[in-house]
Amino acid sequence: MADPNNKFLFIAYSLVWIVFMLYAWVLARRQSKLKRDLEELKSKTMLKDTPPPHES
Amino acid sequence: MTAHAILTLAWLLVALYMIFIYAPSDVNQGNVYRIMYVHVSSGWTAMIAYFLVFVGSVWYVWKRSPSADDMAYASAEVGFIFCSCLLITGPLWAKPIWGIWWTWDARLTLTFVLWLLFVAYLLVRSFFINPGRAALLSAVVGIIGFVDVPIDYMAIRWWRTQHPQPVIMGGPNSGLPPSMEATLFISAGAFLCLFFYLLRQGLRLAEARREIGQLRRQLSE
Amino acid sequence: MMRSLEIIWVLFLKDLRLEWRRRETIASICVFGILVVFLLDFAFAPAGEESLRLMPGVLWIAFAFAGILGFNHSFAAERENACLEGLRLAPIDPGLIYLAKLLANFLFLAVAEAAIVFAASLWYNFSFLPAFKWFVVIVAFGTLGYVAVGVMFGAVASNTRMREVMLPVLQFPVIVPIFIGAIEATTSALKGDAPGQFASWVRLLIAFSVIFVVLSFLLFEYVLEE
Repeated sequence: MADPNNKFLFIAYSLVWIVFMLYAWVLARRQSKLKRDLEELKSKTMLKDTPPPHES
Repeated sequence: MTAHAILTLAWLLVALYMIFIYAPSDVNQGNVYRIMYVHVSSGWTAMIAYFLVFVGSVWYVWKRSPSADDMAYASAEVGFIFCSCLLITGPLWAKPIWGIWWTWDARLTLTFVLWLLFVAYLLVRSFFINPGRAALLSAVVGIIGFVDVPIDYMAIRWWRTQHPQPVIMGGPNSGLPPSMEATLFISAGAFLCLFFYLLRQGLRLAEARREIGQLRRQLSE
Repeated sequence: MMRSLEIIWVLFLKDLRLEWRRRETIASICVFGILVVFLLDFAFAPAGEESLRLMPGVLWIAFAFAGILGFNHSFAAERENACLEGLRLAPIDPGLIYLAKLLANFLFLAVAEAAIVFAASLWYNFSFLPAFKWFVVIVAFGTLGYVAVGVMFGAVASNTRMREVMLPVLQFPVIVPIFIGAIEATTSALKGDAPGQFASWVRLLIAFSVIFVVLSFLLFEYVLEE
């Protein structure tokens, strides 16, 4: 269909798609950062709880 | 969560099919009217989101439960995304149909105000000097904002009836053929499903953040 | 009840006294408001009938900006000397602190508005006298609603960074109805319409003021809470 308004339709749906993809990306980044922090803290906690190897 | 993700995806695909294949072309507007499905769905979702911001805020002020605050914040964030889509798709639909990108008619003005309410809530959150107080104070903002919505609605409606616009927004719901109506409801449902999926993701992130906060505190003891 | 009124009065006098010593707030909001009127006069150079059309907008823009300046000042002073903390510790209903601040800010803004109206009347060759009674009523309730929201959000914003910006951002969506109502009512009154024409707008202003004063009064304790 040669409807000239189709480009608006395309742009609208593309932008909505892009917005959600960007948001999903932001969420994914947050999640991986939190995961890293969690891993780091968990290992630190374990280090703290385990006595150092030199003490007896 | 995976089940929710799959459900959301499937529902969106069904909606997509209905929007572009099942729903017929409009007699007057051709194909561009199909923006309406995403536009109206975003609108309903944004309004529900703000209502949840209000519910979370009241619940937080009352019970001081961290999950209440999580819900308020997550709803605000996701609601902001949907409201932004609403404001993006609106002008893109208006330009080909009415010839103008924007006008201060009742509905558009209200949409803009709603968007500002989301922005206000999110900005206040991010600029807090003392994050401990952020939850309570944002809750206050959320409550005041929500009380404002019906007043805005009335004021803006009166204002626009005083100054009738040259363009009449014969809303898309004024007599839709059944196939379009069905498509609209399926699309709205898909968007709501997506909203709740994103909301739950937000809640999970908030909980993880709190867990990390606790671990940090334990470590420093 | 009497005790509450006493407390409000004492706190109100405190704000007045503080203001009287340095007169910073009133002076700056008067000057700023008049500046806005002046600039708009320059920008539009209205002639005769045009003054009538522009006046409501000019006035309420000037009032809006003067208000924002005033609300920011009001809480900045408290913050500097940790006064809010002191007030918080006092065994009084926090809502009373809000009401006292509301009264003080209303008074300051009213003074500024008088100056603004005077300047506008002079420079735009516009007489407010024909509709003066209703004009005062409209401005009074419009200001009350605006100050109710402004003091509340001023307190919230004083807890954030970039608080001078945060206040207008917070206020903007919430004050839309009061400004629509105020401008519509002012336009109608100044045009010489019968009160029946703008009565519903005045009702909106009153309703808005009542709702937001009560709501803010109830929520203020959470804003002060530590």
